[in-house]
Order: sequence, then C-alpha cells, then structure tokens
Amino acid sequence: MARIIVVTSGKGGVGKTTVTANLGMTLAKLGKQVALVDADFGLRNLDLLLGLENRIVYTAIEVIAGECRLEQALVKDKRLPGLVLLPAAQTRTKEIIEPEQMKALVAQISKSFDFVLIDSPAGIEMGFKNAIAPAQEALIVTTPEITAVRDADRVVGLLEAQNVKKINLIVNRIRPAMVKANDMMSVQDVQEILAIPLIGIIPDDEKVIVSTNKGEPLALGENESIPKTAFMNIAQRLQGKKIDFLELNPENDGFLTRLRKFLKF
Amino acid sequence: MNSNQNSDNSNREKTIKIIQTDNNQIAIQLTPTLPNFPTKTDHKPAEEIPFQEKPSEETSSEEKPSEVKKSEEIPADNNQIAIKVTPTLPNLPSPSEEKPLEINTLEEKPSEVKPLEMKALEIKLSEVKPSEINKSDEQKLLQVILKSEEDYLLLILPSETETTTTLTWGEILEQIKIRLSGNERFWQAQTAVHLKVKDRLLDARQLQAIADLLNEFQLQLILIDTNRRATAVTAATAGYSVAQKALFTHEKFTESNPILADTLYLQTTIRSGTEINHPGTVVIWGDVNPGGRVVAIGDILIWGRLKGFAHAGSQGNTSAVIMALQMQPTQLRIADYIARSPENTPNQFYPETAYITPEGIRITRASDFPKMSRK
Repeated sequence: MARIIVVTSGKGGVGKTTVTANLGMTLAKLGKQVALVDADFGLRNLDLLLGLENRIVYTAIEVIAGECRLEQALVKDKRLPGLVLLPAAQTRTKEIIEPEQMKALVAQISKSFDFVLIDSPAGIEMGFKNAIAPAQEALIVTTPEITAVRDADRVVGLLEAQNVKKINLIVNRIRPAMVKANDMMSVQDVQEILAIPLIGIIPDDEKVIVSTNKGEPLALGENESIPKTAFMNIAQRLQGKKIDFLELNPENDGFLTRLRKFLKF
Repeated sequence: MNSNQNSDNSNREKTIKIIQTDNNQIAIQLTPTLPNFPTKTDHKPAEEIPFQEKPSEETSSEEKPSEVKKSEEIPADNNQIAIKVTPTLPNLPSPSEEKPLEINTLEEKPSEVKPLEMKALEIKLSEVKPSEINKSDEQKLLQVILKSEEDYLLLILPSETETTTTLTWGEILEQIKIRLSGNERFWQAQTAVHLKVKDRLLDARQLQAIADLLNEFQLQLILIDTNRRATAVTAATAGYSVAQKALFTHEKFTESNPILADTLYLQTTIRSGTEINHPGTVVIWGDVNPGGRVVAIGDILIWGRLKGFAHAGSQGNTSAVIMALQMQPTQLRIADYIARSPENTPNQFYPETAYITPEGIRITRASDFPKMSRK
C-alpha cells in the first residue's frame, strides 16, 4: 500500500506544484514507485512542470467516468522509470468530481505504488476538499510571508478536522540574507505559528524558475544545486531518516554574489 | 489524399483494410484505440511529413503520442519542406521496444515491424467491448448546439439525463457564449431563437440569463421547447411561447446522425480550458492557445496559431484535415490517430495542413495540399 500524501498550502503561488514535481522525482530517483496526482481540475499545471503536457491522452475525469482504464490515463515519465502522472482535466471545473470519487480513484492507484503525491489546488473549496479526501498525510508548503502562513494555518486546521494527523511543513523560498537582515520571517517564526513538524527548507533560487519554464524539474537534472539537495533531504526525511537541515547562511554566497554586494556599497 | 497510392498497391490495400476496421469503431474514437501499424514508407514526395502513430489500447504513456521530431527542414524540390520525423513506436503487448524509427521521407523503408503490429491489431479488435461504444454520442450530447433553421435559430441545451456526466449551469452559459461569439454576421438583428431544453429543468432566473445573453448578441428568445412541465410553466409565466412536445423536424439532430451539422464559425481565441466540440466542421478565426481544445467531427480550420489540441474527424473520419496558419499543436488527432508536436519549434511558419496517410498523421504546406489531394 502506498503512502498517500497531499501537498497543499491554502495560498496560491507558494510552490505546491513545484514541490510535488520535484519531490516526486526525487523519490522516484531513490527507487520508489511514485504516482503524482494532479487534483487541480481546470487549472492543471503539474503536467507542464514535468514536461509531459503533450503526452496526455486521458485524464482523471475519463477514469472516473469509466471511459478508460486507470493504466491508460497514467502518463509515464520516460526520463525516470517509477514516476507516473495522473493528469487532471483542463476543460472541466473542480465541481465535476466529488471527494468520494477522488478517494476511490486514489485507492485504486495506491495499490501499485509506494507513494501517491496529490497536488492540491489553492483555496479551500471543492478542489481542495477533493484533494485532501484520500490523503493519509499532508505536506504543507508555505513561504515566509504572513499571508501564506495565515492561510497555511487555516489549512492545517481543516486537515486536522478531516482526520489527517500526520502533517509536515515545508518552508519554501527562504532568502537567508533577508532573514538575517530581519526583513523576512525566519523558519523559526513560521514554525512558531504553525506548530507542526518541519520537514524541509527550500531556499529561493532562480534555477527553480528556469527549470519550471523548461518542464524539467531540478531534481531530474544532473547539476547539483541547493534546492535539489533540499528535495533530496525531504525525500529522505519522509522515509524516516534523520538528516540535518541545510545551513543557509548568507555568508555561503558565491564569489559573484559577494562581489555584487560589495559593489552596491 | 494519398499521393503515393499508385506506388505500392499491395501494401496499400492492406492498409486500407485496416483503416476500414478502424472505421467500424467510429463510436469509440476517444476510448482506447488501436495500435499503430507503420507501413512501408515508399517513394513519396518530400512534402509528406510522417508525423504519427495511433495510441494503443494497451497502455500508458509509453505508447501515448509518439515522439515526433520535426527537426531540421530539408529543402526539397520546388521549395517544399520535408520534415524528418522520429516517431517512437508504441509499446505494444508485443516485445517491440520503443525504438526510434527513422522514417526517411525519401527512401525505401524495410517493413519488418509490420506483421507484428498487425497481429497486435487483430487482438485488440476482439477486445473492444461493446460497452465502450456510446462514448462519442454522449460527448455530442454534452454540447450546446446552435443551429440555424429557416427563419429562426435553434439553441439546444444538452440533456440532463441522457449522459453520465452533466455540465454545470456555469459551463452551459459559457458554452452558449462561445457559440454565439463572432457569429453575428450570420444572422439579422432581432432574429428569433427557439430554445430546446429537453428534460433539463430551468428556473425563471436561468431562463432570464439565457434571454439576456441572447439579447447581448441581438437575438430574441421567443419559444421554449421542453419535456418538463415545470420548465414549461416557468417559460409561460415569463411570457415566452412554449412547445411541450417535439413539434419540429430538428429532432434528427440530436440522434446520432451521419450528416454533419452546419459549420461552426468562431471569431475568438480559444484559451486554456475551453473546449469546442462540434458535430461538423469548425472554422476558428483566432488562436487556439495551449490547453485549449477543438474537437470536430469534420475538418478544423484555424485562421491563427494552433498551439493547443485539435481533433478532427472525431467520429472516425480519416479524411478529415486540420489546417492552421501556424501549426504548433500540443497534440493533433485525426480520427483515432494521435500526433504529438515536435520538441523543437521551427523558426519559420507557414500555413500547414495535417492529414492522415497510411503511415499516420502528416503535415504539409497548406498551399501544396490541394495539389496533392487531387486524384
């Protein structure tokens, strides 16, 4: 049986889909069988991020309606055996399916995978309810901003009400220099408010934007980068390993950054 | 359509047979389709671009749209462009691995893979379940239809009970809006509209919303045709004429009828999430953005950029074509063939036509297409 994990945040644009894609790829790289489920009906993005958009033939809607078999709708990632995507429908809205249907669908998927990651839509309406219905665990993604943290807090409450007990926190887009200058909430500040276990810290990095636009998640590439390491650490911690959090100090900046800083003054 | 018809007759006959079997499956076009059957590539004019393959019934993504690469343009005679394609064969139940198959447009190709594929095809045919057959009819029923009769327009809303999935009210309004947009030139101001709602229950507010919408396009709702008493009462109260039985000859339209509907002419951008599904030919004056879908039983002509999804001949008509001023689709389908767009985009565009050949979907310059299709 798979571990069914929903990736959610409340607020939009904090990086749910990016986290889902990269974490999924990292887990698959570690040899796990991973299914990514896009629950963002009507505004699907996960396929784009994974670079699988033009390979979609069937979507979750057709599986639910019984118009095709589940295996036919699962898009395999050729670059990474062990990773599949169940795409959402783009032409219908979130109201088209119900939590019970989503539960049945994910139950069917979970039989043949180690991990099922559900990419939740922003908001707390129908789409969110559909996304969390099948989940046993949750990953809350937030950025160090009061708006994102406030929404995350609300979502944690909703998840607890839904009996999702195992909730972990990922703080995304941290900028160590700003934290140091007291211009940004620190991870500790976020944790203090949300009071859920921290499972990962991902620094803000332009490479993430580049990889997003290319449809090649960072985790897939060969080049080492801090975000990639961060995802690897999260994947390890998800499997119960104890791994120290990355030291994100502005002092660790590369030569260029230091030079840039120097020139500014 | 096939310019190579006289080059290898035996091969072609075989191919035709298979296509006919496909035609028997008209109704299941969107349900799993058959594995592809790459046939011998014979001498053909350079402008025919092998583009494709069909999805196989067995599978997951590996045999989804083939890896098609529109790589460098190879200048051929009289400035026609040949595009080299490297389709990946679908992984059939057979051991055929997904090996890139270089179909060179200019030279003979050994056809070893063929017998294998065809065997797989037969197996697939026997596996087709009768239960899968109604899908396309259902899809048609899910659409709002606008049709012009002699002196009025007929607006038909999808039935609520005949289909498994229903449209939400918001989706219906959205569809009506799309159907109406850009079509003003096809009717006089204040043309009468008959609204046929079948078994759908409409309240006064919804009726008003439709009337208002029609008004925006200078149309006048005058009659409501319904099977539901409640809707009839609502309509009568609101002052519209009511027809409670199917008084009109347009009944035929909703039944599966091989005759195509009027051409749908749209002047709009088809944006992400919008699906146009029309039981006839569709002409779009505007772009189809990535994430937008156009599905037509007939041809699809796009006077603009095709960057989204287009499915022509959706009921199995293999002679349907897709034309676009700028062809950069996410996916193309004609009948039950699927083609994926090449990875690298060419730096120059001209109007192109996509059509089916025994080798799958091909693309050619639109200006050359009429010459080729002439028998």
